[in-house]
Amino acid sequence: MRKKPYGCLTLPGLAAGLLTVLVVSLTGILRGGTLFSPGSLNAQAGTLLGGVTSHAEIGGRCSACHSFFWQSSRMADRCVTCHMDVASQLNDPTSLHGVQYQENSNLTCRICHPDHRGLSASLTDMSMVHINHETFGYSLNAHQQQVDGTPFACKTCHVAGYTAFDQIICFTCHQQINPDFMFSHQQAYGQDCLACHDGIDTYGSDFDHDTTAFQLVGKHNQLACVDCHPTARSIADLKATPQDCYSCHAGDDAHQGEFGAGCATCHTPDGWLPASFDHALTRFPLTGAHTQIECTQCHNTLTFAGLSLVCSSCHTDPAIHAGLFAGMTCDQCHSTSAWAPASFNLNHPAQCDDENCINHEEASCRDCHPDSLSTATCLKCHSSNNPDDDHGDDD
Amino acid sequence: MVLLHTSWKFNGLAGVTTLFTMIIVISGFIGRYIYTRIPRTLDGIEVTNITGQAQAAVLVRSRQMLAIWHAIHIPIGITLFSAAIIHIGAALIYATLLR
Repeated sequence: MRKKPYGCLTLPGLAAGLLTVLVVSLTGILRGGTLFSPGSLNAQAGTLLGGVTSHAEIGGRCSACHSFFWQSSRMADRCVTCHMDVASQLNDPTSLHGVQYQENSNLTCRICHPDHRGLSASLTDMSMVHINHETFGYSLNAHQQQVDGTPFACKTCHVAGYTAFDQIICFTCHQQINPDFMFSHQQAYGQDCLACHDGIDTYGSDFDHDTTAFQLVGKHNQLACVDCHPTARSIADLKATPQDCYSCHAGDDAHQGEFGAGCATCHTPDGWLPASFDHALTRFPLTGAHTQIECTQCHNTLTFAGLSLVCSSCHTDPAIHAGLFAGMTCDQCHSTSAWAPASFNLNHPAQCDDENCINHEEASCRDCHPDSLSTATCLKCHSSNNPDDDHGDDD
Repeated sequence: MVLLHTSWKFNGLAGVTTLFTMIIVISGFIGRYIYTRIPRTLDGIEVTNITGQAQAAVLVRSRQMLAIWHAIHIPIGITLFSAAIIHIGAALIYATLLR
């Protein structure tokens, strides 16, 4: 006789199936949907929302968050039923949620905020979301790797949550790179790093001041930022820094304002000296030996405007003149090229009428008056001071 | 594959289903050895013309064991299939079709 193989639809089998369905149903009735939960809901207590302080308190009420596919509402709709502050942020383009939602309206809450991952698991995981950090006014372009070479994570900077940032983090990390600079920089500009720094080094270490309207040349290139921007506390402050010389150099103006604020007329950023003042523009153009001397030889009191143009204001009457030229001016005999030769154009008190004395026209004052114009000697050329002596002894 | 599918989480109905899967696998191994103790044709039909008293006694004992095993294995299997079907339905509702 051919025996029939055993089948599955035995009475005990059917009873077991029914019992299983019954147990599952009873459990569902008594304990809600916990039987279908893939993991514990987050139990970290927060603000009281929807009558609970944590998702775990919702327990097996799956429908509090989950909507069935035949229902019109979605899970995100149920999230904002409790999280009403987030609902308002979604329409605020300055908020984290608003920016993300407007960039990608397909984003749902659960993409960044998964649950059923354990009682103490984080409710935020943005690893699946691309964050355009520049949207928030700070690029991560210069923050790819930390000092030790490890890549940045969100929590590296956002220790207290993704929407919070304490700028002390900036100092904590950057002092590891250059502690002296960071200390002095913070002393000078305070702790509001983001007021000037946007993460792409617009005003960071790679900042090129030459891209601005005020190029740093000469000694300006050796200055620290704070030397010219001591009170700046924002990019707007930096940009508003006056560019005229006098705004910074009024305190060290050697001319005490005599020449106004146009320092660049005479000076360059290479230094105060040498100054390239064009004296020809004044009432006293420099000629001859006057062009070879230092400014301070005439302007020895550092007074530059209103000086007397009279020679005697600088040059005293020399002893050799013996006071013979009182009432005269130097330029009647001298030029600015040199004191000698002088061109004495007045009548010489001792004219030689002898027709043979023509050589005296070649003599200089000092040939006959080596010490003083009040005395004379012929001995430089003649053997005697007596004019009646034979001139045959002349050289 | 079932163990990998669990992501090593064994709570809820999914955990129960995993447990019954493991039981049914073990039970299947046991049943396979009982099953092979009964001589069959290539079609799986038991061979009836057993000769010898000793062989006949073994055959009777094997049939009894297979009946007992079958009475246990089938309900466990049906329980597993029932739990798995509910689990799949819940997964479709709460995960796959989640909106």
